[in-house]
Amino acid sequence: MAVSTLQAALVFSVLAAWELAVRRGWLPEALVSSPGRIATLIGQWVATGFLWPHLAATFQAMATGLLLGLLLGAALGFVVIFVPAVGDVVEPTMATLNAVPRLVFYPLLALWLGLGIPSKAALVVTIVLFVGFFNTLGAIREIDRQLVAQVRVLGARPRAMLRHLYVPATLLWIMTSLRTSVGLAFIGAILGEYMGSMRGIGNVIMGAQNLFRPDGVMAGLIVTLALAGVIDAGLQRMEARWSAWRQGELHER
Amino acid sequence: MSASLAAAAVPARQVSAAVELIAAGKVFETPAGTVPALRDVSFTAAVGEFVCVVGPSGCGKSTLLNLICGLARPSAGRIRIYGEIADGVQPERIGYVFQRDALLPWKTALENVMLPLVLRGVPAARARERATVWVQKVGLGGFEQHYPSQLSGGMRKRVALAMTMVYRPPIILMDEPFGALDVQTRNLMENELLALWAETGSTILFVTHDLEEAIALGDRIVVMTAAPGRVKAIYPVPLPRPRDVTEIRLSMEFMEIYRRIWGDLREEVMSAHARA
Amino acid sequence: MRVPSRRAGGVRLLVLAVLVAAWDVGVRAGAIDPFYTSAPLPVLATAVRWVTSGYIVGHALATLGVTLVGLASGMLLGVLVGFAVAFSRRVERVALPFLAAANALPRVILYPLFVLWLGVGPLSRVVLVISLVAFPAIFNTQAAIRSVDREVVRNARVLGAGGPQLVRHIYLPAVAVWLLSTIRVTMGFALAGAILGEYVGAVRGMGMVLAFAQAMFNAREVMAGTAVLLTLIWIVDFGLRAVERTVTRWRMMEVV
Repeated sequence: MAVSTLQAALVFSVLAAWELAVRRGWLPEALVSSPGRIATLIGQWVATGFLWPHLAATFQAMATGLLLGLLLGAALGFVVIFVPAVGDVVEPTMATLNAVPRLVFYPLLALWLGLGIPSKAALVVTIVLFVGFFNTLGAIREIDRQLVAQVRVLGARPRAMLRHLYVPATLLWIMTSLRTSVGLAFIGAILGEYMGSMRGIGNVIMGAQNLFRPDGVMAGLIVTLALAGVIDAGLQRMEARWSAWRQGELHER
Repeated sequence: MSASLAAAAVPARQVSAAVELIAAGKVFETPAGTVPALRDVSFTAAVGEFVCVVGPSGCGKSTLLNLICGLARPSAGRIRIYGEIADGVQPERIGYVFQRDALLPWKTALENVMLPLVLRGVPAARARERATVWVQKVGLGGFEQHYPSQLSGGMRKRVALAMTMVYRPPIILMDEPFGALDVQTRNLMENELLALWAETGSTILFVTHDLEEAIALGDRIVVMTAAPGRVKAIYPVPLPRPRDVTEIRLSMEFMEIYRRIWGDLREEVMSAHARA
Repeated sequence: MRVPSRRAGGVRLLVLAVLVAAWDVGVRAGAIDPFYTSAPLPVLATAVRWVTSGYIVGHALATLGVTLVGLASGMLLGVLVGFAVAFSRRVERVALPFLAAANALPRVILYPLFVLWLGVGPLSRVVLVISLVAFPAIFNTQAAIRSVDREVVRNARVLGAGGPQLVRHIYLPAVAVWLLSTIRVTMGFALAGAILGEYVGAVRGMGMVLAFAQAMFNAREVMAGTAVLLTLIWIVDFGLRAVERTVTRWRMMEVV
């Protein structure tokens, strides 16, 4: 998203006003901190290398959970479609569970997996599982019946059908929803860290909050949001390039 | 190499009929009740013959092809492929070009044409070679790396043709393959089809609602009645080959044949309309 | 989706029963460590005790209270702002970029900030819920208003409807339709916000019950608490679906 000069100027003036207000004592520094202090803190974090192990922990939870969640969700989706008896039981259950905010399950996960990265990854799995599952169902059900018939007629046995038809179709859908999945995974990891952790950027923010350090909380949030923005922008670029073949120019002969 | 593939699919003893339908019928169970799509359909297609099936919409032409191909089973009667009762899909013997092009959207044109070979265990390099030959044969040289969404309707149809012909099935079913194309492209494709057919010698069953197309292409024409479909009449088309579809339409013989068959077909089209 | 037969619903209950039985057997046989999962009967006993003694009622009401107050306020705020944005070009031009940016933000992670500013009481949680719910409300209100057929509005104007009447008879119903269709999703957000807040630092609420139990490694209470919370959520969802059905029926009658 391109930032226009007007918007940039607006943000800058808000920051300047904020800094001024805190210096003059109009705003309580103990509650809102100031842009100067926050920037200094972030600088310190980067310089001392404090930030990296925390970011690494969050990233690890997010990436593991994302991969596992999508894989399990897709696998479950395949089972539901190809074993209708199981599908009749599992699909409505998944729909019901989807309505439950997944952090309800976090206490259980923390009980079983502790407060380290595994429980955060597990929380992410519970969130992303559903994305993978419903995408897989959608992808396979959307496949044109004639396409299925054609591939059968060409001589594809069940394993070939999976390899050439069903798996690519599913991968396509999952790729399309990757930005959402990654976003959800990121938030999930951080929420898990809020709910109890030893490391991670969410842990840093909670730590600052417990110590009544608004500069720490703000700094952590800014780092988090910046990271989320960068990841999303990167994914957007990837998506644009990769989906070039989906919207091609039509050549009229 | 492809000749031996085709030979393996055809049984050793001499059969003159590639496809035989004997009183074949098909009913569908719907929530509204049983719907008879085909009833008592009988005809044969000789080896290497180009048979066209025409009829009003809804007469069960697609169902007919599905039965022959093995995608569906007849509710009555028998279907023989090379003298043997048809039982399920026979990819070694029967190819099918569908109405809507069924190309895999995530594969390039070349990869799509390679697919039937890959499915048969042909090593990738050889498959690529043969597929490239066929992509060029259908006039898409230079478009091998294009994805279906980057190709026009006519080009996608050519890929579909190449996909089916690359593995030289001895019998090819075609369900109104050129219906969605504009007239010029359609004529082009019809001529190309005739050229490819001459080269491969397959038996072709071509379904269309366009009588002109049917006469231009076929050796024989099977006229179907309105639903439930039955064979109304079978007409030979003794026009000389090789044909050019645009020129042949202007010949006197063509118009004669047309006039004769149209009478029959029109009755069925009207009755199908009246029922609708 | 294949329409599941009535039998499928029964099968699901059966599967659940089998799983619970397997759990029980697993614990007795020593295959499952009760330290991590407790066993079905103690968990059930705890849950029942909580309900009958009234212990859990206070907490459940606290959670529901925060959820519903936040949801209602957030929706109201969202609808009001949505109307303002939809009807005033000036407001739209000025506010929309900020609203869009705020909407793109994952607001749930801002919770520690709210705690910093508003303390650990229910207020910070209500504000969190409002922040989660208001923005979708704004944009969907705007969309609902924009989706109203201009012909209908023009016609009503010709018939003599003034501003407030247009709002009452045309725009509000359009917005209400949206409200209903997404209330189950927004309810999910609201509940999540309330529970997160309680878990992280509160004196009352289901989240707090779970946090406490988990910190004490009390598997029995974590299981019981989760079960009670899931039941609560199911009841709320059931209620919403019932409301949805009644209103839909009422709407159909109005149309006819």
